[in-house]
Amino acid sequence: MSTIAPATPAPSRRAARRLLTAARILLGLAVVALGILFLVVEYSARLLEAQVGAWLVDTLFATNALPSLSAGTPAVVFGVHDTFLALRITIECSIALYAGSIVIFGGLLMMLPRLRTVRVVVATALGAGLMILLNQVRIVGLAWVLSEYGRDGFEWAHSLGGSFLMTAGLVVSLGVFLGIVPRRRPRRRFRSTRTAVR
Amino acid sequence: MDLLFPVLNTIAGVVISLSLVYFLAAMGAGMHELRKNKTKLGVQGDARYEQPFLDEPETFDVYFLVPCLNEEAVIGATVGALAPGRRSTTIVIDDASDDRTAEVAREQGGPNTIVLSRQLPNARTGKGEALNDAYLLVRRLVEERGQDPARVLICVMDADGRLSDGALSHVLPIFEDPKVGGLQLAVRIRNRNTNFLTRFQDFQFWSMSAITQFGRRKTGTVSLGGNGQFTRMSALEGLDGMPWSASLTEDLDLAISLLIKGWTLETTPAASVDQQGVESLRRLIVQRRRWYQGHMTAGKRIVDIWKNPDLSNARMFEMSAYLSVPWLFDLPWSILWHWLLFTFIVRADSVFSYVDGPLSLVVGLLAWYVLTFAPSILTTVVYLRRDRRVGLGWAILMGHAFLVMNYLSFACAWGALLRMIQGRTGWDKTARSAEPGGATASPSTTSAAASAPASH
Repeated sequence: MSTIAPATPAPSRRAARRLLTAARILLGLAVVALGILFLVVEYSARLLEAQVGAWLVDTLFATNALPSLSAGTPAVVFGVHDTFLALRITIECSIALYAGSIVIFGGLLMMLPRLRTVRVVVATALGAGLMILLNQVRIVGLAWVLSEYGRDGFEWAHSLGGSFLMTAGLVVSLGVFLGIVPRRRPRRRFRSTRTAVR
Repeated sequence: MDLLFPVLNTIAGVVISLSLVYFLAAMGAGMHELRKNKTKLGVQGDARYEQPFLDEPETFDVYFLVPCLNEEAVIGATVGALAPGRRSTTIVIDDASDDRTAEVAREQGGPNTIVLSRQLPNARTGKGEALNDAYLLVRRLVEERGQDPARVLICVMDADGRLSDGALSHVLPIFEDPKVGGLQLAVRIRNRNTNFLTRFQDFQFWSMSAITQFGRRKTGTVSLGGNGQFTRMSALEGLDGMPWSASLTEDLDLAISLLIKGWTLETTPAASVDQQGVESLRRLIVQRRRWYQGHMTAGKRIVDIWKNPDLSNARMFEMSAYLSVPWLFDLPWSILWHWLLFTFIVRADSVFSYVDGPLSLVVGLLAWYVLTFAPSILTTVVYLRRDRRVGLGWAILMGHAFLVMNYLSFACAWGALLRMIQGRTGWDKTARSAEPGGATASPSTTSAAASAPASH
């Protein structure tokens, strides 16, 4: 039968571990800063959303679509059935605040040594990415409803459908995030124990 | 103002979504656990609470600890029900009662009942200290009787607690798994038909708490309560110091300590414990405020949990989420709820902009109802299926009672926070009501001051 004495980390290994810890904390801080940046530059994020939204609307169903400004608010202007319509993306319609919150949360978790950094990065990217994608789907969907069913249909889809979609989306995003993060790397001493027993 | 609305709405959205994720995950996991064990939601719905030792395998020695302070109204029936155990001992901890608690316990308990009398000024110093005193006695008895601490279980019961028929036949086999250090039974409210408050407590314990506790089996992080709490003696022996702390929720504290030591905490759908519910609003507020204060104080142990490398991340996250509930959900929600209500009213024209007639109004209201009350609909169905005798009317009422009962949580959470800031750790013992067939007593609230601060 083999016995395993707890190994004392060599100085070089200790130094490497310290370096890794510092790198993880720096990465976490950078990601938190990125999340805060999302919140601060939310107007630019809306401009970007309008650009992507216009491209999607143009590609999917409109005869023509352009990103624009409507009374200073980023908007998607598109033409359907010889009519031009404008969809304004207000701060409450933007995803920057939700995505920023997820990114900040992810950054904070990245600094914890017990969590696998790669998993937290993947979870943060997936969680925030899902929300961004969902909001684009919502913007394009609202544009389509507006063009097909007019103002009445838009009000239904915007108020009811939008609220339901975004709440469900945030629940799913957070669920995915929290589903990915906890999984743990198999601990090294278990591996060495198995090897020793063999 | 332009920024205030979106920022607060985002915070509200995140809080709602996080609480929904936790609620749905716990409820879903609970129902999945039941299905995995081929058990229906209605299990134990019509259980009787008279013969806990029915079909008992007698594989463990069990010590029942029953802390008592003026419990003559209920203690007789409790010790009477625990008397028939062939390998059990009941220790009634009389915490310097003013009434006939000790005499009634001796009369009704039989030869396996021991009354441990605590005398003032060393009595009434908190439930934790009373339990620790009894634990010292258990240690001595186990040694004298030559019992193996790994095969000894300690069960904490409330003075009004009754185990379901055959409870031990379901509990003891679970402890055959050497990793299991504790087990908590689901709680039923005996006097649930008395009034709205007792019915609501039954709904909370039986419909929501029990299912989420079944769900927590997946991570082995079932929380311990003060009634129907089983622990393995060898697990308690391995703790640093005495098992029960001076905390206002010494049961939760013990659960955290056991989990940190690597023990698994379990529950079973096949057994339960019933107890009296609090019948007056004032007493309910006092009880819940104490629970909140204990729960909120235990929040500082999140640091111990996160520092422990032996705990799995799933356990770490689940326990952190559970301990954070008052801080992350209840306190913020008490403000955000009113904010959302305010915006809903002031922006009603925008929220209901699609309404152009009675039909669209009805459809719109219905859609908003389904969207905002989805958890209520779920808990209504669960409560009805947990016990068909409840009736659809009561189930619907309870499912939607959170609209009013949220204010109880808000008041208790803020009251607990205030007491924490003031450094007040005194406790008010929950008083019992006399039951048909029990000895008579006039229920009262007994106040005492914990001698030690709620530290761990």
